[in-house]
Amino acid sequence: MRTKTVKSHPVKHSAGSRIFDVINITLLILLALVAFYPFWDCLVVSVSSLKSYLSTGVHLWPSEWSFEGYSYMIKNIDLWISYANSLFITVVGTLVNMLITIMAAYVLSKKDLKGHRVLMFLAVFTMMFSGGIIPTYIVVKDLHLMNSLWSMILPSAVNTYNLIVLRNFFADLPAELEEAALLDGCTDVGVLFRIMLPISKPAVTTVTLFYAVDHWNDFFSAIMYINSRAKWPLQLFLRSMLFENDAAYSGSGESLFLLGQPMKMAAVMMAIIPIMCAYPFFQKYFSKGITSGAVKG
Amino acid sequence: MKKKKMLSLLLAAALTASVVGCGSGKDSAPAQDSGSAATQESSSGSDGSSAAADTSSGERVPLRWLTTGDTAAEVIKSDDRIVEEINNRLGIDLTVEIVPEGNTEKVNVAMASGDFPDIVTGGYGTSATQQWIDDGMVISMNDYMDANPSLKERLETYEWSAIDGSYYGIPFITQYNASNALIIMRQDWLDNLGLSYPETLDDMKAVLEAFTFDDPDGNGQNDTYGFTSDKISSANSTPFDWVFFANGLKYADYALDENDNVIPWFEDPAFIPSMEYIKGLWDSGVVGPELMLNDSAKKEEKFYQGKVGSFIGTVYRHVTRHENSLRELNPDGAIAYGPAPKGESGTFGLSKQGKGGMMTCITAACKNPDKAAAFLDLMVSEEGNNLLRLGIEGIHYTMDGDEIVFNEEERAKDAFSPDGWAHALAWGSFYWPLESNYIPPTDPNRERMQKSVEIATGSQVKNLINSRTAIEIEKASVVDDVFVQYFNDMLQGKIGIEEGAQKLSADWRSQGGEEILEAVNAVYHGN
Repeated sequence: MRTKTVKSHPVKHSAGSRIFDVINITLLILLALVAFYPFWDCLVVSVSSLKSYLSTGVHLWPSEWSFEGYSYMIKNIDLWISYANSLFITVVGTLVNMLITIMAAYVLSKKDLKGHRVLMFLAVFTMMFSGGIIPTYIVVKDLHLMNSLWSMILPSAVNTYNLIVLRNFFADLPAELEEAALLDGCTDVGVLFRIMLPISKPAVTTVTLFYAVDHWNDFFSAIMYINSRAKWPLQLFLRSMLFENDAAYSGSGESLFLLGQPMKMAAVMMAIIPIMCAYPFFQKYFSKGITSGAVKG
Repeated sequence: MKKKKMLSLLLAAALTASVVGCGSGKDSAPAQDSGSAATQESSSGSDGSSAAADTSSGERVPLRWLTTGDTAAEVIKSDDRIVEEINNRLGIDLTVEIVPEGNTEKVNVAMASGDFPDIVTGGYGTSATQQWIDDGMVISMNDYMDANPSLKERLETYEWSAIDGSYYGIPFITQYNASNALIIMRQDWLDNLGLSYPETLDDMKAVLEAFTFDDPDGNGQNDTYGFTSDKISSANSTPFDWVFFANGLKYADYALDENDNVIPWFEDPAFIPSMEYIKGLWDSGVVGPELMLNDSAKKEEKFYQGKVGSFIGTVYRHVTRHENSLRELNPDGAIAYGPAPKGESGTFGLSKQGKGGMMTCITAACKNPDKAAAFLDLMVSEEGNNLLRLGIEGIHYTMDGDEIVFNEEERAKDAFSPDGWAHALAWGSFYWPLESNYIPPTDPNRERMQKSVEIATGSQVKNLINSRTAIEIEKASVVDDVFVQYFNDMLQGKIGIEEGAQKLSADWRSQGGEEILEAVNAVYHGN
């Protein structure tokens, strides 16, 4: 077998450009560290004992391991209930979001649709002038959604920004594809789901991720519309734990706050790990997705 | 153009219809296992739907109570026996809705959007509750006082809260009669240095200096500070209130000039010498430099870590927590606390009597205000108090002679907090255990904790004016910012103390202070 030797022809870098590289890379690494450290600190504290947490100012590595926080949290039934609620809201909510957003975006991307400008205007209008807290509360109440997980899904079923991202993406797809599919006997709905969606993966996954993260992180609508603790989403549970110190200081009950920082950090880790696990799967589509609507190739 | 309009209208209508369809279909299922609602009747408004509930529950009168409650309380289940007991006694069908995180904003939004419960608990002395009163959303309780002696007694304790003679709600002012704040010190450091807990401002200075410069932990390094606390957040609470009170400041909120007119407390003659003392501490480096960044958790951490020898901390139930946390790193650590240091004339003080808290009102939408008043009467009565703390005799506790024996297993089935603490209904709306210095009789550290509250309450300074005027509520944040800015500037030497004090007064008065003084003077002289 003949091996082919490839001569490498390194591009000659000028001294100036090399200095730039060094500075650039150092700066970027520093930036990355700044972004990464809070997460690392949180992770390290969550597996440290209280003693180890108190004895060091900067938490790079636990001097004494302890999983007490996690074992306490795992035994906490409220955590699992709120986990289930958050999962439900995220999965079902994102499905509802995507179904409505995809269909609306696709239809709105058709220039020959009569009144598409008016419809688009109506959608964009809500971006600039929203109803505000009290009118939204009245709508939720009158729809009998109070104290229901659906109150965290239906009122925010479409996010206009995401709708525009998807609409622009659909609008950029070649119209010939649609024509060909229609000629082959595909229905309009078929065109959307069989032709357009599969080639829109980057945009669709990006928007899905936006929606999913929004649902996972949402606590405000839970504060507003949900009272029953059995329906608290994870973020509300977490917030009430982290901010419970006010109550604890006013001299009331024994609270998790009293159990110290490692416990709180364990709860934080348990809340962010699931959504972090979703990122790598979406990563490859991510940057492509947000820029694809912006630059025409 | 017309066609387009029609089309958009039609589409909008179709969208609304589809959402409504979805909503009503899904709503019924999740509403059933409502955890915090005491009955199955869920959160639909008081209009119409409550009439239906009326017939289904026999003669019982439905009452819906929307409250901030307390995040530390347990969850009330639908078969809670305490709620059942209250229902039976009063012939009501009580639904308690506790909003997440004690979030008063949620209560305000519910009220503002016309979602009226029968009884509502919101923040006392806030613009929202003021609006409830102004707009007639809540009713005067005066007509129900005679029939409900405990309610009457409670309201008359807060006589100043009446507006033109009418009581629109039961105020629950936090830290009104009791305090849990003291300067907590390292007893082991004091011992190492041969010092004792400081009794005067001079002692205090000496102790803080020794904590900072004389190596109190004996590690051979200059790595300790004397004092820390929370960062200053408002004119109402600085980390050095104890200095002002030691120097003769009389009241917690305002001061009086020689003509018996109300003036801001920082125009009191005690202010300048106090600021000089404080600046002296700051300049000599005995105050932890991170004071301006500290929150409650951070200051405690510094104390536990042995970086600082004293801080303003909470006692009461926290005494053992401080001690245990300190011993994580310092096995020989011990804590000391005592009355605030005295000034030359013997005056002293540390914490300020509260002015804020909760207020529980009967709404104008309540169809049975007499039942609502009876419920409130029970909640603030001795009888109700015992029911919520001890439970039902024979079920939640038994008497062994004079001694109360809790049945923790039974208590856990209802919404009692563990280790003898009260039922969830007792938390947050009408009293906190601190107010009556309540520690379950079964707690081994009971005496020590109660003693700490007695000391802290002894160092609490009363207000000149109890009520909060509408203008104070409106202007509070602006004038507070003025104070905080000048206080920090004076502390850090950006401006001289005398000059700073003058400018502070002038700015404070011009940015809303004059109006505040006018209003509080009217209240003061009216009394």
